Amino acid sequence: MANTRKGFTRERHTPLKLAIAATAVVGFAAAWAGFSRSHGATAVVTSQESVLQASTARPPAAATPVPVTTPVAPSPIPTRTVEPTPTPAAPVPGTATRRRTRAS
Amino acid sequence: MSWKLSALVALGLVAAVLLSGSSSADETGSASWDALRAAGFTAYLLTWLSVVAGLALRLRVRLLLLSSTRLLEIHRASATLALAFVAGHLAGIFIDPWTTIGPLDAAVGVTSPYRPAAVLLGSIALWLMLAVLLSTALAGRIHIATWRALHYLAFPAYLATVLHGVTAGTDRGSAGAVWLFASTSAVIASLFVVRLFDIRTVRRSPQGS
Repeated sequence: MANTRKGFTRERHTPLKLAIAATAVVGFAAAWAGFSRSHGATAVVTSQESVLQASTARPPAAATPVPVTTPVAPSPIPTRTVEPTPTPAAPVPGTATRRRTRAS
Repeated sequence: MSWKLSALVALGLVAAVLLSGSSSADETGSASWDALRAAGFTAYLLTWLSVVAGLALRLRVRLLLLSSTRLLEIHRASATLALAFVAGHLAGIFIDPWTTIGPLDAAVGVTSPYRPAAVLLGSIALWLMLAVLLSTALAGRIHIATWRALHYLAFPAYLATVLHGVTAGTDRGSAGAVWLFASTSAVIASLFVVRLFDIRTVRRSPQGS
């Protein structure tokens, strides 16, 4: 019944086991850092998108064209009225991105 | 030695995951989620290494020209280390603000609010892995047939681990994860087929033992 090669009582090659443990821990740390870095890259992209969306969605007040009416004087060229065209505001990406990523 | 080393690694992992989860930078839970993903992949690869070393040991294949005693220690150490990384994986799950999986959900699986089928596969893998390691810890005190029967649970444990990895988490369906699971499973499947033929050959041979 007694088997000296089984169980965890008589073990050898301690440096080998330490090397396996060290490799596993380094691999874990590298994978963790890699996953975190991938989030960082996504964050940069979303921030750029938000800047672009913000500049088109809501123009600054100073640049907003005001309706102009021409004088009553007769002119052969028809008068045109410039109307501000509202652009639908796009949702700003936030934490919901991660939720979608996980649920997918 | 394996138990002590794995317990030390488990303590360090759990501490690191808990610290990352409580940091102010983890408002969205990204740090704990990334940690549990990394721990899960590491645990899977260690489980794979343990199964490969065990099969190579039984088939008397000198994997990477390693001696049988070195293969045996790789087999033991990687199995116990896999359990340590599972502990880190679970710590990340428990503190993650988004998954809301408790200890009972992780133990039972089906009660999990987050992908119960996938979590159930992870729970099955965990219990089977615990049974295999417990049988090894008790080897020499239990009958060899009982030990062997319990030890064979490593195969369904590995299968449940693969299915858990394929069906759960952010990485399911990603090219890297699919490639990892496919390539490693192909190695195990090949060795398993050779092992089955080996068993039949031994049973047919009157000199086989």
